[in-house]
This record gives sequence, structure tokens and C-alpha cells, in this order.
Amino acid sequence: MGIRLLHTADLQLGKGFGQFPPDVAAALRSERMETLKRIAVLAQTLTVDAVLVAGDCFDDIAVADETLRRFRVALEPFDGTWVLLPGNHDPAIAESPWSRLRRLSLPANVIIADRPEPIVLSNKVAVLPAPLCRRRDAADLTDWFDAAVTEEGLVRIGLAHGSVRDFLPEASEAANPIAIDRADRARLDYLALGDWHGRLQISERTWYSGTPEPDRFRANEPGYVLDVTIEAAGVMPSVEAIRVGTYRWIQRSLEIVPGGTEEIRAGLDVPEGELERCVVQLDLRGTIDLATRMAVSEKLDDLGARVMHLEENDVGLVVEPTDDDLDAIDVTGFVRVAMNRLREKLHGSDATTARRALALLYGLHHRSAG
Amino acid sequence: MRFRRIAVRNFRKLTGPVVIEGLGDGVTVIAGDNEEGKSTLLHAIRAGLFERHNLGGKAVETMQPFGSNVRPEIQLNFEIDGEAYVINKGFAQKPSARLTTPSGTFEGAAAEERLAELLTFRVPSRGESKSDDQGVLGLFWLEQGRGVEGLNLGETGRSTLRSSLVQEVGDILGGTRGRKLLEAARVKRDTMLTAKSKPRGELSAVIDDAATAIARVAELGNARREYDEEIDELGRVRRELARIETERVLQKAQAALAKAQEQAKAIDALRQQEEVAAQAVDLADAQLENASERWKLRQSLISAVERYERATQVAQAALTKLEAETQDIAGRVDAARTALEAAAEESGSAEARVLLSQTRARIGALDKEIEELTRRLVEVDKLTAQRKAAQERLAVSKIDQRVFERLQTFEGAVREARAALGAVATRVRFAPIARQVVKKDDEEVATGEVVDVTEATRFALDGFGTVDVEPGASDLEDRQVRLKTAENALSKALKAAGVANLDVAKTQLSKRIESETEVNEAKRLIAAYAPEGIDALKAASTDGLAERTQLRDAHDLSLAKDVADPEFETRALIAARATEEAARKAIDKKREEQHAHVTRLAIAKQALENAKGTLEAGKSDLDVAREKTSDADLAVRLENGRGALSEADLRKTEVAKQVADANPEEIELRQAQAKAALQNVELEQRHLRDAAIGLESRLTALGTSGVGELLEEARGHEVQVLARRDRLQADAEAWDLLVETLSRTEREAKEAFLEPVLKRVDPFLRLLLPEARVTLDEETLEITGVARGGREEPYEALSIGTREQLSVLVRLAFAVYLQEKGVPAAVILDDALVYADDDRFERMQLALRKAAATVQILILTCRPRDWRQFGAPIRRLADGRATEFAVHNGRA
Repeated sequence: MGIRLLHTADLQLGKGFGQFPPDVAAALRSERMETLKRIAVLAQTLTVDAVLVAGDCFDDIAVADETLRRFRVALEPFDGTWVLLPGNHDPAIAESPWSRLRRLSLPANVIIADRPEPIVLSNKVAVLPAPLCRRRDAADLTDWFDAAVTEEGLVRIGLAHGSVRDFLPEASEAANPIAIDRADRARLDYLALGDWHGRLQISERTWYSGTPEPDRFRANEPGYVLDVTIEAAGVMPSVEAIRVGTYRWIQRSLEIVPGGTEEIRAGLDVPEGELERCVVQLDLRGTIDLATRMAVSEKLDDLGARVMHLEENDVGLVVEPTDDDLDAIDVTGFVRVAMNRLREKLHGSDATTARRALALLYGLHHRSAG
Repeated sequence: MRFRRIAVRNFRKLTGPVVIEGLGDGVTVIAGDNEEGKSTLLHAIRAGLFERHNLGGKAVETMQPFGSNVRPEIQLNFEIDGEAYVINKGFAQKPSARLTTPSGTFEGAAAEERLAELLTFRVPSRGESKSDDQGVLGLFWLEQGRGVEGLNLGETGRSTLRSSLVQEVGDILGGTRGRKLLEAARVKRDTMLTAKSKPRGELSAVIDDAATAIARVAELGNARREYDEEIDELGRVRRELARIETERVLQKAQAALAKAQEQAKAIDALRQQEEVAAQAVDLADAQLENASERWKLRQSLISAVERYERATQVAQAALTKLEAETQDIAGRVDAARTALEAAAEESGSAEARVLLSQTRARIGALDKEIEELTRRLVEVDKLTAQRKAAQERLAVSKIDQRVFERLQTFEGAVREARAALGAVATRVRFAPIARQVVKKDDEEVATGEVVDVTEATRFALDGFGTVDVEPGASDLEDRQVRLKTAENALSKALKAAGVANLDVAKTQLSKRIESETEVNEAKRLIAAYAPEGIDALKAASTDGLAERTQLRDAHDLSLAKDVADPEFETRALIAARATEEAARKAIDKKREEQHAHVTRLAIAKQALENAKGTLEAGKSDLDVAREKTSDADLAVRLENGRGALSEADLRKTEVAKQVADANPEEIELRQAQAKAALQNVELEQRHLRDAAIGLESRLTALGTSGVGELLEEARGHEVQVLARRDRLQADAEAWDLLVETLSRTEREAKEAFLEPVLKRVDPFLRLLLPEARVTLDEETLEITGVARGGREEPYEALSIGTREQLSVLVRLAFAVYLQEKGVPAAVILDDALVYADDDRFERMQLALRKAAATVQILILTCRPRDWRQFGAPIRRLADGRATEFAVHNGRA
């Protein structure tokens, strides 16, 4: 008699997305809760035994009560067991979302795994949690799994949040280490990990599920939950990724050449129909003339209207006004004299301002001409 | 361009032909008096050049002399670059225009077109020529008083001047598009920056927003930090509580206290024994006291019985003594009573003698009273009779004072009536010769006497017969009736009064008064004798008699032989009564003494009885007590009690020593210490729990708002706002730089554009205002002001004189410039420089002389003497009139 679980992590509920305009931020915020609801519905549909959340349900310990209440509601579609592990964003410290949730009262099928002791579910599975009780812990909290005694025949599943030592890129959390061979050493049938926001397999029995709803620009396959089936204790698990995320976060670095504005749309490589669910960041590079700059702006404005949100970084885009640019504005007269003077400044200390001034003049001319 | 000859005919004031010939290259002064047509000459020149020959309507009418319909004609001969030109124009009837040039002659509109081309003006399509049409020549020909208005350069003039400038410096202004760009950039810049480059509008708002966002992040950051700190504190508190729990700190303190309490309990047991011993001492003490009390009580009973016996004896002795005194006291009382009786008798006898004496005296007095009363009664009787007689007389008398006075009145009336009759009577006196008798009614009438006749009377004269006299007075009859009436009234009254006449009445009245006096006198005397009435007088007399009789009957006056007068006897009585009183007092005193003695005796008897009773009771009490407990028993008990007390004291001392040996102070200190320790632990626990509850509730409250989410949001917002601020700031800087650069290049362009003109103006201006520089609008080419001493003065702010002089100077400079550039130019000034003072006028003349080196200048003036020193040829209009208006075709 096997077991079936959904493994997810890093819901980061309550994340503000304040770097975006308020409407975009609000949409991104509420979508995370919607994704959790979708996971609950999925779990109910698949009739899994339990949903394991490997840390960071919440983005912060100081989330609003409203977030906690919405969270409670989002769990409702699934009436099986939820095992919720405190992570580094929501550690089980003296006052935490967990203590507050307990005060709000939780249904019996929701288990807060905030103590390092086995949790036996339906007499089939023993979940060994490694809850974080502070934000950063230098110790490997999964150490205790090795010596944990569970009843013969129960599937042993580890649940932890942190960085697998010597595996993840340096960018990941250096604290909260997890031994790479923990699954073997602790005779685990499956080790469900959280903290890394991309879906990632560490070993045959060790997986990061990644966040189910992308929340940053990083090409590491977020947006999935893992559907884990284990036929019996000791049998290799079967793991399948199911997409549940809504938004795509796309970051592109584009080289723009004079007259080459098509790259802006082409470089994205996203079908038209998906654009509206994309949060896009474009880093523009290259040296172009004023006319191209004007065209780039128009392209970007157009793209901005098609995507969920467009963030452009044009620091790397150098505008060098050409004679043609300037001739387009005026060939003679004092305006031309002024333009020539500004152009002389492009190699001095005032370069940025002078460049911008020329672009503005070009814009003025462009508009008055149009 | 140089005029050589000007001929005008039938033009306004200049009706007769006016011809000014032989005009030279430099300055020519044309003089004319006021109203002579000096300004008309300038109008004629303008008309000759600029007005269409076929001009009609009002414009032509104003050219014609007032009230006439003649044909105004103008002929101007001039040279350009040494070539001769003639323009002829006739207006109104047969309008004509003819231009003679070195290359041919032009007629009509063609002549006008050719001329306009030559002199760079514009032929008006219709109507009169405007200043905009007249080109630079219009500028250089300054009419009287117009100098102060500035240049008023018309459109064609401006265009001529500009094209000359562009030809020289190129199109450095860039036209209106450049200015529009600058204006648009300036509008943009000004929405973000103030004149002094301070942020404003959107930029200012975003800078404020950024500050607000930073402050909000800081505030939320603090809140978040506090939240984290409180969570840490809660963790610490909980760990501390757990430590207390796990280290069993409370239980240990409790055990220590229990041990200390055990030891304290042992001490308490000893203290209890101590207390019991103390109670035993108290008990023995009490018992001893009881025995001793009883012993004392017995002794007092015995001594009381002895005392009672002695008291009984004393009482007996006192009684015996009092009984012995009783007889003596009775004897003294009897003696006093005898003395009182004697005194009372004496007093009674004295009273009787006083009475006798007084009775006798009273009877004597009564005798005298009765005698007097009797005498008065006799007098009264006599007076009463007299009064009665007088009253009777009064009763019959009819005449009293009132009646008499009435009669007197009536008689008076008769007398009066008679006298009135007599006054009108006929007086008759008879005087007989002899003694003849005269009779009336047979009564002789006295002769020689007047007889008053009041009625028809017949006198019988002796020897004569009768004479009838009839008095004839008018009211005689009335008077007669009045007399008769009066007489009747009198007679009637007399009759009623019962008297014959008034004399009788008078006698009767006297008698009546006499009787009345008599009655009154009797009444007065009676009242004197019997003041209380006659009856009272009679009663007093009767009473006196009765009293005297009664006294005589009641008292035996014979006994009163040796009785003295009442006064003496009364004094004797008072003495006797005093003696009696003294005796009475003496007996009262003796009786009181006797009474007191009796009382004392009774008391003594009672005292003896009491003493005996008390003695009996005491003896009985003692007997009873002894029967209960014998004296010997009591003594034994007393001794036993003393023994018990000493034993209990010993025990108490022993137990106290045991307590001291157990060192209770140390045990107490230990116990207190253990208690304090426990309390501390409990207190700490309680504090920690309170702190935990406080922190939990605060955290709950803080958690509600979701400060973490808010902070995250605020941070994002901060990044956004800062980015926006930086972008806007960069934009603002860029706009500022753009506007600044454009403004500077524009300013420089303007300056460069006007430089050729200004260069020409400067030498002229130096003659007038050294160190000053005129400023022109590069667009309108109008004078905008003067810059001197680093300050720009607007043209409008300059004095009228300076303005006029400045405008003349700039005209001269422009004319020189254009002439140099090959544009035909000549200057005509009509009474200009009227506002100049002598010094300025002289300086302006210098300027004119300077300009005249290049351009021809015609000066129209009404003050030729002002120009005499100038040295230029002076032509008078009047001289020109002598000359015929002749048309010299083509040649001057």
C-alpha cells in the first residue's frame, strides 16, 4: 500500500512586491494565495495523503492577520493532511505566524511541524521535520533524522528548509545547511526540501520543489509542485512535476544597434498570447543614435502595454547623437549652435546631462514636427 | 540718394508753385515760418514717391488746397549712384505718373512699380501708402514731433534692413522654429524648476514623496526592529521560564523553606511548654492569692465583731445621758408658758381701754356735727319759701325783656310814620288879631303856633267862620296809611301784653327782673348750705343721731372715768403687745429645745438598736464562716499555696532555659531567608509570565497590521519613488542645461546679428551719450533702451529729449549703413530736436555733420537762425515761390 504526497515550498505569502507599481504588486501578491488554493484543489483531486510544505509559507514573520486568515481559507479545498514546516522566512520563534495561526485556531488536518519529532500520518508515513527556530542556523537541523526511530514499515520522509552543502550555487543561503547525503544516512525514502525557488533534484530521493508561483527574475524553473508516489518503504520514489504557477518572470539582456529596434520584441521569445502573464525585465545595451533611441522608446511603450509589467534598464544604452540627428532638428541658427555645444560636452563631466538634454531636444523637435 | 530739386504745386498749403533747386550732397536747411507749408513740403515728397497717382477719394481731397478742386502736382529730381531720376506725379483730375530714368521713361503704374523697386518700398495695392509700405525712406523722413515715438520701422523698411544684415552676417537667428523650440524647452524646464533653479511642481512633489518614502521606511524599519526585538525578548522570557521549570528552582526553594519551618515548629513546641509553665505559675499565684484573701477576710470578720461590741456600749451610754436631761427641759417650758399668759391678759385690758377712750371721743364729735346740721336745715327751709314766692310772681308777669323790646320796636315805627307824615303836612299858623279862638273839631287850636295839617281839616275861626285846609302832598295818603298801620300794630301788641302803654310795660319789666334775682339768690344760698342736696343734708343729720344713739347704747361710758385719751391708751396697748410677743418667742424657743432633745433621744435609741443588730449579724457571719472552714484550716491552705507557687516558678525557669538553648533567632533567620528565596523565585516567575503575556499581547496587536508586509511594500515604494525622483532630477537638470545652452546661443546670435548696425550707431551715440550703448530688438529692430554703467534703461523710461535725439541718431546710423550697403537713403528732418538743450543741440549738429558725409540730409525748420552757425546752405520756402513750377524732363 503506497503513499502519494504533494511536495511544495516557498509560497512566500505576504510578499509585498513593492518595487512594482501598486496595481501590479497587488496582482502578484494575491496570485500567490490563488496558487496555494490551486495546490489545495489539486491535492484534493489527486487524493494525495498529504501536502508537505517545506518552509517559507510566509514571506515574513510579521505578516498581517489578514494574510493568515486568507491562508487558512486557501487550505480548505484539501481535507487531507497539511504538514507545514517553519522556514528561514517564517521561523518558529517566540512570536511567529505559527503561534498566531494557533491562536486563530487551525483545523485538525493542518499540522505545524515546529518541533523536531516524528509525525506519523495514517499509520503509513513518518514525517521527520527539521523546523527552523531562528532565521539562520549554523547547525544542520536534519542531524537528528539519522537516529530517529520510526516504526518498521512506515515510509520515512524528511522535511527540511535550507541549503544543501556543496551543491547549490553560492548565491543560495549559506546558513541553514543540509548534508547532501542526509537521505541515505537517515534511511529516508524521500527528503522534501525548500528554500531554493527553482525545481531541483539533488539525488534520487532528495528534491527541491521550488516555489509554486515565481517571484523573482531567475531562470531556474519555478512554478511547479512535485507529485511524489512511494509504493512502500525502501522503494524508490516516483516524482513528477506539475505546473501550477501563473506568471512568468522574464529577464533579458538585449543588444540594440542603430535602427535595430525589432530585437526588443524578438529577443523576448514569448508567444503573444502569454505576454500578458509576463513580468519582464529588459537590460538594454549598445550605442545608438537619437532617432533609434526614439524608436526604442516607442517599442518599449508598446511592449509595456502588452505585458503584466515591463521594467527597462537603459543604463547600458549609450546614445550618441549623429549629424543626421542634429540636422533633423536644425541645420543653422542658434539651435544648431546650442546642439553643437551640447555635443561637445558628451565627453566631459556633464556628459550624462548633455546626452539627456540632446535627447529631450530631439523629442521636442520630434513632437513638434509630428 | 540725393534730391536735387523739389517742385510742388496745388498741394494743400502750397497752392502756388514752390520750387527748391540746387540741393547739395550734405546738409541743406529749408526754412519756413509757421504755417508757411514746411511740413506740407515733406508730405508732398512722400506723396510724390509713395502714393499711387490714381489715388481717389478722401486721400486726394486732403492733398488739394482747402476748398479748391485743382490738380496737385509734384516733381522730384534726384540722383542714385550719380544717375539722375525724375518722378512727376499729378493727382485728382487727369492723374499721371512718369518716371524718367537713365534707362528710359515709365508712365503710370509702371513708373510707380519701377520707382518702388529702385527705392525699396511697396506700392500699396489700394488706398493710401502706410508706413509699412514706405521702406527705409519712410524711416528716415521724420515728421515734426514723431521722434520721441522711436523708429516705427515699417514692414518693408524692416525687411530691407534685415536683408542687408543677413547679407552681412548670415542667418544666425534660425527663424521662428528655433524660438519655438526654446520656448517649449523653457516651458518644460519651468514646470520642474523655478527661476532660481529650485525644484517645483512635479519635481518638488516627487522630492517630497521620496523624503516621505524614506521616512516611512525608516519608521516601519524601526517598528519592524522593535517587533523583532520583542519577539527575541519573548523568546528570552520563555527560556527563562523554562529554566525555572527544568532546574526545579521553585521546588528547591520550597524544600529549603519546609526544612526551616520544621525547625521552627520544634521551637514552637518548646515555646508552648514555656507558656504552659508560665500558666502554671499564674495558677499557683492565683491560688495563693485566694487563700491569702480568705485568711484576710476571716481576720476582718473577727475584728469587726469586736468593733461592733464597742459601738453598742457607746450608744448605750449616750442614751442614758439624754434620758437624764428630759425633766429639766419640761420645767423650763412650763415657766415660759405662765409668763406668756400674764402678758396676754395685760394686753387684753389695754385693748378695752383704747376702745372706751375712742368711743367717748366719737360721741363728742357727733354732738357738734348734729348741731351744725340742724342750723343749716332751718336756713334752707327759709330760703326755699322765699324762692317759691318769687317764682309765683314771675309766673303771672307777661312782660319780659323780649316782649318789651318788641313793643319798643312797634312804638318806634309809629313815631317814624308820624314824622314822615308831618314832613309833608301843610303848616298852618293862626295869628288872630284879637284873641279870637280857632277851633278844630271843636277843640281850640293854639294860635301863633304851627299846626300841621295832614288831612282835610276844618278849622273854625272865631269870627271868621271855617277854613278847610286840604293838604296836597302827593304821597300824603301812603304816609297816612303807614302811620295808621303802625299805630294798629302797636295797639295790638299792647293789648296782647296786657298793658296800656309802653311806660306800664317798662314798670312791669323792672319788677320781673327783681323777682328773678331773688330766685337766683335763694338757689345759691341753698346750694351753699346743702352742697350735696337737701336730702343728703337731712340724711346726714339722721345718721349722726342714729350713730350717737347706738354708741351710747353699746358702751358703758361710766367705766371710762380713769381712762385717758385715745392716743395715750393706744401707746399703752402697743407696749403690752410687745411684752406678749417676747413671752411668746421665749416659749417657742423652749419648746424647740424640748423637741430637739426628744429627736436626739430617739436617734440615740435607734443607734443603740442598730449597733446591737450589727453586732448580732457580725457574730452570726463569723459563726457561719467558721462552721464552713475553721480558722485553722484557712491557715493550712495559705501555707500550701505558697509551696505550690515556688514549685511552678522553678519549672518555668527550667523550660525557658531549654528554649534559649535551641537558638530560635537563628532558626527564624533561616526561615525568613528561605521564605524570601521562595518569594523571589515566585516573583521572578510571575514577572516573567506577566512579561510574556504583555509581549504576547503587544506582538498580537503589532502582528495584526503586518508590519513586515508594510515594510516590504514601503521599501519597494521607496525604490520606485527614488528612481522616479532621480529620473525627474536628471530630466530637470537636462532641461535646465538645454534651456541655458539655447538661451545663451540665442542671445549670442542676436548680438552678432545686430552688430553691424550697432557698430554704426556707436560713433553717433558717443557724441551724445559717451559710455552708453543702444540696444535694439533683433526682431522688430526697434530701440529697446540704452545700456550704460552696466544697467539697461528701457527706452520708455528715458526723457522725451533723449528719446527724440536717440531716435534721430539711430536713423542717421541706419541711413549711413544702408547707403554704404548700396540701398538708397536720404534723411529729412522736420523741425526735429525741438526738445534738445543748447549743449545737446550742438552735439546733435555734430552727429548730423558726421552723417552728412555719407547721406544727404534735408532739415526743415522754422528757426533758421539755430542753423546759421552750422554752416549749411539755408533755403527759404518764400524764395522758392518766386520760381515757376517748371517740369524739366529728365534733367535737373
